[in-house]
Amino acid sequence: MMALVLVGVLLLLLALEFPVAVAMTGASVAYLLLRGDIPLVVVAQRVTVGVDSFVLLAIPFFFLAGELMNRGGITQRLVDLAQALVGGIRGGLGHVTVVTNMIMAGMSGSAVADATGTGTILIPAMERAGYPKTFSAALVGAASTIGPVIPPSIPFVIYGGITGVSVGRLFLGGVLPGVLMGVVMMAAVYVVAKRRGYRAEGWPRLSDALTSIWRAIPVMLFPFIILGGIFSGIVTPTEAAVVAVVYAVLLSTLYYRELTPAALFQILATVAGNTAKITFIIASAGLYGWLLAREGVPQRLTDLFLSLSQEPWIILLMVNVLLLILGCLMETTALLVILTPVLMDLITKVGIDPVHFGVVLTLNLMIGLLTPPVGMTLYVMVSLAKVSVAEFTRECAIFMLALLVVLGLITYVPGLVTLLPNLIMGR
Amino acid sequence: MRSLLDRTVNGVLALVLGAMTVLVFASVVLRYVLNSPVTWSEELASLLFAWITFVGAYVGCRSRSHIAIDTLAVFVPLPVRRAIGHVVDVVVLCVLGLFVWQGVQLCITTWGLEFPALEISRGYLYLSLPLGASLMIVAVVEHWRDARRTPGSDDASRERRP
Repeated sequence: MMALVLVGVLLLLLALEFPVAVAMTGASVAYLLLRGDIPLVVVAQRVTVGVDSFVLLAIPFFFLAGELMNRGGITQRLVDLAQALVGGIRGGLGHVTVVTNMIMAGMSGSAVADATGTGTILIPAMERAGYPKTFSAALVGAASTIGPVIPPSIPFVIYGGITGVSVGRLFLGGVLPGVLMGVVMMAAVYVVAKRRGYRAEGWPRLSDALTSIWRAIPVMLFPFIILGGIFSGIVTPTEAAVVAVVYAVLLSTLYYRELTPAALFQILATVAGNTAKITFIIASAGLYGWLLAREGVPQRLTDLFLSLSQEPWIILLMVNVLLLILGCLMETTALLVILTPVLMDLITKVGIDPVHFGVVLTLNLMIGLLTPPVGMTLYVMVSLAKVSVAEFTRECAIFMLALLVVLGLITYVPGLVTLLPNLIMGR
Repeated sequence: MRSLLDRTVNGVLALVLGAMTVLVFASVVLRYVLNSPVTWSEELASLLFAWITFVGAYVGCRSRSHIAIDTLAVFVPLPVRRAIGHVVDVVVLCVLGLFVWQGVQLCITTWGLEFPALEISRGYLYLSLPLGASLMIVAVVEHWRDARRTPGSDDASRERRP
């Protein structure tokens, strides 16, 4: 009965357009007042402790790295590089978009930052080359979802922070699925390009290509610094994020000379403000999740699922479908933060590897970024390219289908996720 | 319209995030280059992170850009949404008030406890919530004042995101 208060009040407040963080706290307070036997001071205590975490500290730094890349001229270098690598294939700039996002994914941790950065450069470029704006917006949006699957990744940090699963293992687990997303999406671009007769832009002259590659070499060191540092055990993911930030600052001020101190100051303030929007939710979830666990909601959900089926593959199917539906209706971070602790009980009881599930969960929620009515990336792209939500969704359908194929693959071939972490970090 | 408080909060946030970057980077350098690990840097960085969260949340309150879900609101006419919005604001103020009240209580009861490595009071961590929540209360009130000065601007902020 009391569990119903927790869940019911939350849903009611969310429907009334409460900020998610306040909705979670409000539901918790309603529950505490009705019970009356737990002192209200746990509200302050749980909420604060919810963000007193060195793991979650990686979030602002991976945001910062992405923002610095966009403003410091690094993203442009990546686009040039991708142009040299895949610009000559049919549907040229489409492939450039996918590849840019794949490389960018190795440095930034946020899909929305990637979408904004690559979209700002690539949508106008594709328009000049004659691609319809709806196509480029849909493609950039879909390709940016690779960002949080290829490490580093903010959702993996949040998932690891909540469950205690090694963030390093999650990062490694995302590598193959992320590359797979890129390959399948490039295939989708090729199909669309062929059907609609988009031409290749033609390969750049060899000297130009070499220049682009040469200029991008300092940028390409990024993934090696971040991932090499984490997997060799030299630095924690949080420290790696900080090293990436310092490297991005040096690169864009001293080498590319596109970042002024005033701009840097503004970026710091903006990133801090944007970080707070996410971490305020995580803080409130510290309280809400604790109460959910006290009420035994995760166990009840587990029992419900297990009463429907005992088979891991059917459970994964049900969880995936549930997440896809919720992903349309709710904001991704909120969903990740609320559902992770609730689902963990089920996942471990059925014997599913928590690293495997973390990657499946993240990829699933990334699809939710693209679907109306609630999808952050969707709205960023729609306002960036000035197209309508309906046009975007229609054009994005084939890419979402591509993502669903990858989701199915990594759900039912766990090796795609667990191979690398088990190989490199042991079982 | 950016007030003095807006600019101050912005400046403080930028400085704290910059300081955290330097702090964590320096501790990595010290550990490997000078071989003298700093034990308290993680504690201090996590503490500052809590401050960024609750002080930074002021910015979201000010610009009305905290993450909310507007799925159902699509079906509700604007005057009703506006009325609901006022109710939401009042409840938000109550929750923030609770943060201030219980946050201060928590500060007082934990003031004698110390971080193991940092050797300062845990109260400095718990203080972030009541202080940040106070700022957020100011932000909600400032928003009301702005909305009264320029009628209609509030409706724009209730349009569909972003």
